Amino acid sequence: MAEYKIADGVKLHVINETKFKTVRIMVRFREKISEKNLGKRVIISNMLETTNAVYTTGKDFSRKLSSLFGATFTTGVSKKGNQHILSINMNVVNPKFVNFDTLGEAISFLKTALFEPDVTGNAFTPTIFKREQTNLIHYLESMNDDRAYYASRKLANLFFEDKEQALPSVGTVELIERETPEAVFDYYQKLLKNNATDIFVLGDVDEKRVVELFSDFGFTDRTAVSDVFYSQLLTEKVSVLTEKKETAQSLLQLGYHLEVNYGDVDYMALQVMNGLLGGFAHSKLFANVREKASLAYSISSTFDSFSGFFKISAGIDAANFDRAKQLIFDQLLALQKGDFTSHEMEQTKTMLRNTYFVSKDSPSNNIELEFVKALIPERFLTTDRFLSLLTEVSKVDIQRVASHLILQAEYFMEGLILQDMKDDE
Amino acid sequence: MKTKFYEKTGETLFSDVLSNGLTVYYLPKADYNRTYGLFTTNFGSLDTTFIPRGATEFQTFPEGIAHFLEHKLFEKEDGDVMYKFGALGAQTNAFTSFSRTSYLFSTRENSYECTQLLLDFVQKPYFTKENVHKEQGIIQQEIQMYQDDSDFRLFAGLLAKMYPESPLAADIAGTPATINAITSEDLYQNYETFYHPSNMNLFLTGPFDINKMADFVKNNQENKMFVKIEEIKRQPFQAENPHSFDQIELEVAMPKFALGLRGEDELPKSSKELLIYKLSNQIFLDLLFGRTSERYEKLYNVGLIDDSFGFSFDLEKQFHFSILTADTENPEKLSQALQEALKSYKIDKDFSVEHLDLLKREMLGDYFSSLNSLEYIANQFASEIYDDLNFFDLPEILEKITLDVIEKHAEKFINEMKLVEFTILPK
Repeated sequence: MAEYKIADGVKLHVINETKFKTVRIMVRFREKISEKNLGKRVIISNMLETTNAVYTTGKDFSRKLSSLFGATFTTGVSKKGNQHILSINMNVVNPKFVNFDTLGEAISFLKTALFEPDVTGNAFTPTIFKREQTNLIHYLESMNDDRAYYASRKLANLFFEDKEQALPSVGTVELIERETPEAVFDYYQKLLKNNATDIFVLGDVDEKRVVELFSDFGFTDRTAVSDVFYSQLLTEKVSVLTEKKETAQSLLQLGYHLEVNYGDVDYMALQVMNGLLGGFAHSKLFANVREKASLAYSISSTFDSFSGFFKISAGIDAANFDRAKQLIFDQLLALQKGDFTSHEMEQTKTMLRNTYFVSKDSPSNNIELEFVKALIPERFLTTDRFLSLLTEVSKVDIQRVASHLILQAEYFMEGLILQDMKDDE
Repeated sequence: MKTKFYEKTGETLFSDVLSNGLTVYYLPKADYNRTYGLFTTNFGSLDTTFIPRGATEFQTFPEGIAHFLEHKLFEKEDGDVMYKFGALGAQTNAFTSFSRTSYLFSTRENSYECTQLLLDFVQKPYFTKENVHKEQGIIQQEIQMYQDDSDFRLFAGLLAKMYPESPLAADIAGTPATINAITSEDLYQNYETFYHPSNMNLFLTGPFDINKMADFVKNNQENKMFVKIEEIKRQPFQAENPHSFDQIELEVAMPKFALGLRGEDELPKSSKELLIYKLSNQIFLDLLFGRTSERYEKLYNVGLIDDSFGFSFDLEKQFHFSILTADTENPEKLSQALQEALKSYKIDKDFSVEHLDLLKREMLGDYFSSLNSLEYIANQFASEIYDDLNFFDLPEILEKITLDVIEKHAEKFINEMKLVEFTILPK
């Protein structure tokens, strides 16, 4: 792995890895999340993926990619703590399998996509803009058809005090509706100039050539953003919302205040604690709420150590709400009281160790690790450090982290159970 | 043991058929961290009517029994197998489809122990009245979860209209009523019929020592007793005539439309021809409706489709069908456009040699990319309908597919198929 500075705030990370049959390229632009820019960024993500000044129709665009042996070009938006991220991804088959310079062609395609967008005057071409805007609005509306996603949005709204942190990374219908082709194009030029930028290339590649290919992208100096972690103060009151929906299954989601960030002293203890609570199949939630009490099919806990958010979610039967909730609380209490065996703790560590290595069999996970390193180099855990810190986690550490979890938000989607779905026992 | 080196991909595949009938594949991957094992029986949700081992008459079991059995195999007298895998540091899971049930593990450490555990737990059933009853609650939740997924409802709804009164019309997991009817005796009868090694295959890939692993598997199997190999008699797949049109209302943002093409033409007998038939029909759809087509472009520009548009061709020995789906504001207009395209494909500008070459290039690249995923490779091997051919033969087969070949197969399919429309409308 090598790192090259293309300009201030623009870094190229080349990860030489021979085991994959593909080369993966990713460009990431990031800045602090803001309500003002979020909608624009989401539309840009769609615009770049559709057409540009050279490949002016969706068909031309797709045909070019097909001719590069099924190269893929995808874009996406996400959040990491305070940062909003726009990612451009390309994936090509390793040149040696097809005897064709897929890498050089892909990087040239990427350059066109970024620097020669589909523009008329000082605006993204209005007809295409309008179409993509409409598609995005449809997409956002239909995302709510996914009940679990809908529930997690509701919980985030209850949990986060900062309204920008509560915003979904993909924006909202309101944010998308208010944008214009001029405003978005104007902002896009600022994004290219000012956003902290990381480029990743992973695969069996010639490093010198990769550096050469990216050196004429014309990126200029910018100030890198360092403020990554979001945190909020504890509130006394738990925000509670129950909604009735016409669903067969009911969804319960609980949001807890988490004060451990990535790389903190307690970070590995948090990993183990989460694994014991709801991260794995041997966890307390899975074993007791699902397997023993048979109250849920899906139940798990997850955390985001960049935004201080810890979540428990369960798919249950509405009639079992009180019982399921109490049983969930009991599991967390058990961890706080140290009611778990050293065998369970060791097993969780083994699972975490395995998961860590297994994730290295995936190109995108490797890039994700490099990204964390680019974001917070001083806190980044190398493999050795990760493993030694994991070994050191003690029972007391786990209890301490568990006792710091304080319930802040509770969302319940109460299913109006369809009668023909009911158990006819 | 057979060894074959595939030059195009640089992979070496080892395979073996053990004396008990079990087919085993080994794909060593020295530079990967994890070992992945997939143990599959040719038994899925379609297999509800068959002659149980030892019996003489056909018997029909409740819908969802294959999936129920999948859940129950994890539970043993001394607890859940999931925890045993966990103690070895491994993840485990299982899934049931129309025609197969597969059990898997993924691990970095203890790959031999995990392989042993996989073989042992699948080959040692433990069903009791109590543990069967307990599982009903969990599966009930699982069924409900899927019922709330509108894309699943679209797919399941279309299948039910395409193949009425057949096992394809039923949910893989069954219904609350059918799963409540399942008894531990039913499970044993199904188990004994379908979980014989001769009806199963094992696929192992990862950084293990091939000789050591092969000996290990062989020893494990030789130390177990199995009854003699018998042919399984399944009731031939039958369905009533399709319903050509139906719609339901659900809480969705936009109408969801599905067009199903139920294949009625006779399938080729040889496995090679069958694979060519399948690929031909997949490419056929891609020529007419893929992102590189004129039609996709037009439909997208007028707003009849968006990124949600998709299509697929599915083939099993008992049935084959194409499905096209989209979230669209105007299902009727879209349906019309799609049907017209199917009728007039011969004069379609995109039905051309040039377009085909482009798509074959893309497919070849996609194929190499898919080799990054051990799970994907293993899943391809779990399906045994191509007997002597396998996933690694694909680049060569692809070369043989010309526009004439596609036309020949598409013509048969299109001439005899039955069309079915199914729509979910917003409430």
